Amino acid sequence: MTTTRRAALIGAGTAFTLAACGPASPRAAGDVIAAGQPAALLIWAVARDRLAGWPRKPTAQALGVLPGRAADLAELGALASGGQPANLEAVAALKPRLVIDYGDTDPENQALGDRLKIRLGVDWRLIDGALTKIPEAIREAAVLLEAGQAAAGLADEAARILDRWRGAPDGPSFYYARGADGLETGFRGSLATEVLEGAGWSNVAGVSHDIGRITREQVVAWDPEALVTLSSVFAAAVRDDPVWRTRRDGRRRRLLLLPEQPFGWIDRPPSLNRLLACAWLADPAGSQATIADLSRRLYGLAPVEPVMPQWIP
Amino acid sequence: MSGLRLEGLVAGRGSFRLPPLDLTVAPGEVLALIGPNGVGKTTLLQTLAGLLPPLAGASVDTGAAAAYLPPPGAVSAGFSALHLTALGRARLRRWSPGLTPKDVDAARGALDRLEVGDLADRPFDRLSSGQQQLVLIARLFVQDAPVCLLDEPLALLDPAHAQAVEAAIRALAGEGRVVIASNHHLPFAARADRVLALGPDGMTVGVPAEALAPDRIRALFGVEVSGCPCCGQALS
Amino acid sequence: MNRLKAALLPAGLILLALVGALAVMATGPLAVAPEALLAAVIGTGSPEAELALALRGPRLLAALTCGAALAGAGAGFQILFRNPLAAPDLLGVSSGAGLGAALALLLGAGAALVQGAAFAGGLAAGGLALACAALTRSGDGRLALILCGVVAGALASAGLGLVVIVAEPYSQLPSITYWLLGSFTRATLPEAVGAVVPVALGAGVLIWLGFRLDILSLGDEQARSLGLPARPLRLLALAAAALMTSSAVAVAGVVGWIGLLAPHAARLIVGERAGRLIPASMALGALFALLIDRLATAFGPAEVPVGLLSAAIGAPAFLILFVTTSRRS
Repeated sequence: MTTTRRAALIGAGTAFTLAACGPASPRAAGDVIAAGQPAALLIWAVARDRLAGWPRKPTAQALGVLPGRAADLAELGALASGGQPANLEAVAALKPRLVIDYGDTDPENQALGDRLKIRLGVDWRLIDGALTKIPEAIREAAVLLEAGQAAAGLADEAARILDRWRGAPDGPSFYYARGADGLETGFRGSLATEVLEGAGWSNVAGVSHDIGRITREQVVAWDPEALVTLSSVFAAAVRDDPVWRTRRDGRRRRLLLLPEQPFGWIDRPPSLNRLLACAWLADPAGSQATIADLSRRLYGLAPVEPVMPQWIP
Repeated sequence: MSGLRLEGLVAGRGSFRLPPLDLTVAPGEVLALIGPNGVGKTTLLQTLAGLLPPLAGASVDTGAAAAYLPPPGAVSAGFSALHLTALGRARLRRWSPGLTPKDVDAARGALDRLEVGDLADRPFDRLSSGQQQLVLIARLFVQDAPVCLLDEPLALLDPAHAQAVEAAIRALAGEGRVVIASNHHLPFAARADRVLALGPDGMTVGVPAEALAPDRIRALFGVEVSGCPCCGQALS
Repeated sequence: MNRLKAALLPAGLILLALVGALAVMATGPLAVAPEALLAAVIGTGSPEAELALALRGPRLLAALTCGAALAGAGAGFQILFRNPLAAPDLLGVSSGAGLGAALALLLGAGAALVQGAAFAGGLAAGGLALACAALTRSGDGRLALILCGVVAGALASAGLGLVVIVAEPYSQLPSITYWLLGSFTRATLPEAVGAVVPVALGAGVLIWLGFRLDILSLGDEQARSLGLPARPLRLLALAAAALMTSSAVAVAGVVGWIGLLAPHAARLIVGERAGRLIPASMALGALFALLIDRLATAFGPAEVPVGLLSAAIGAPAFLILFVTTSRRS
């Protein structure tokens, strides 16, 4: 099904569902709308009281490790592309003061922002979502959201983590297995695998600079040293599968399971959550304390023992 | 082969009923079925063939199946005439996966007998109505059913083919079968062994001389003719 | 047509399909020499060759099974309904199977369960169509079957649309979409073998029915007059075709046009008789599936969904075939 048709179906479905549910609009606790999930994470990290709603509500598992406020916020849909589109009327009914979009600053997204700014009558800001610009993004968001000093500390920590990440020792060649069957991947240069590639790991998949779908035989032909996945379902399924775990010379292929809660460490969404992977890649053995601290700053809850990446035997 | 015996058979469909029919037909007899359009000839033939359930009564015979031939043009098939004819032996091949060479030989023999052997490998749909009808009667030979019911077998046929079909019908009966054929062509009925006339006022069975008397024709068809109402031929 | 030649043609086509399978077996992203593959078959191959075998074997089996099943079912439907546009999806089986798979993916089931759900969904849709058609007492039943099949298919499609709306857009929706578009590479060996069994059963039934299908194609009246129990046999044929179609969709997703194209092409080679048309269609269907399997991985590492390929190639091929045959006659 093409994206437009899918989007149309989903849009129609949302519209009907919202209409059927009656005119009651979700009770907003904040006045800043996130145009997409990456922006939502940025706002949540910098000034979570100001966030009006989730473009896509986190799963029940994720909500379990986020502060209670996260569960109270309603799902609004995404104003930018990617995921279920938002109902503009419902968004406007919340009377927001600002919309923040966090991601690619290409002309397309700028134009989208300009259009929606006129339609909604609300101020729209597009912040550059590049990984290396995270400290600047945090500072810019702090200014927009009038967040104050706490945000400055986060920005500094982010800058330190990125420095260490850049100097990380080289890692293995890898294949990023996206989704439960692992046949979707981020090719070399894509947003999904940026964190690993920047730390000196080499991505075996190279066709475009985006997401794509390949076959198992292709993975065998590329012969990566390691498989990287966010999905525990995939990890469990291929743990003992010789086709996935045997390399071309007969050795066993390594399997890395990255944490996924509350948000994936490298990919979903491409936002501040990726700092956790950066911290780990810089120092796999001794970064537990840094990660615990970073988790608390980003999400608001500090797990006693944070979930760490696992090399599955 | 046994004949056909009907006791109080009431053929019909829905609210349409024919009068009860008591009839005995001996093997080897050709019975012509005449009557105006819509009177129920096809219904009666289909009931005798077992395709429609009788509303009352039964045909008491030794349980042998009857073969039914619809009017020309009703059967359409893309495969060869030979294969269509060989399909007549389907009843014998209950469980086997295919038709045997014996079946094919029997089919070829039947086609040759009716002098259409050269049409054997041509697709059935490409044959003329007359040729198709001969092939279908060849299939009746192959099928070897003791009772053959033909619905308007001479319709749409040119005189040459009509003659050939009539000869084939007689040959069918000659082998001991009961043949009942409905027809508008009264000279055919005149040459049959007996005539069953279905009229608006009831059924009568009798020899052609009686059944085709001018006053009976008038009562049946409502026209005053001395010969056949459709072609004017004299009825001998 | 010479009798011997006529009987040998379907066998020749089947042989061609098997040869094609062997040829395709030697192709793929992994550069493995055929001798190495052979060594792997007997268990003495390098790890690389073993991997290649473990991946290509199921892929080929799935392709052959899917192609043969859809073509055989399509041929069966075309004979029974005397309609050259009859396709395996006539009873809504493909749509039902797609719905089953989508539901299983929505609930996060594993691959084997998805296949099972697709199989069950296809049979359910087909069964619904047959049951509804049986309720109507129309004489021949063929029109009723077509209409009920359309209704069953439409219901399944509507259900599918609902699943698509509810699915999580980042992981579930792409899974469902790609599953529906079709792929031969996702089946493992147990799954592929599991698909072969129902297909072989259905094909066996259709081939055994052989000349009886020819009789059924003449209509109920003629069939009963020739001494055949028309309704039970027709039901058997339809059930066999539905079984084959369900298996094909369960193992490979929705692959269209094979079931329409292969019987037409086969008809040109072996004629109209069911006894020859069904095996010949299956062989041609398997060949066509091998062709699109080869093409699916020919354009770089990204796999082109075979459903798209079968439409892209099958539709124009069907048109060409149709035009040439109608010009001939």
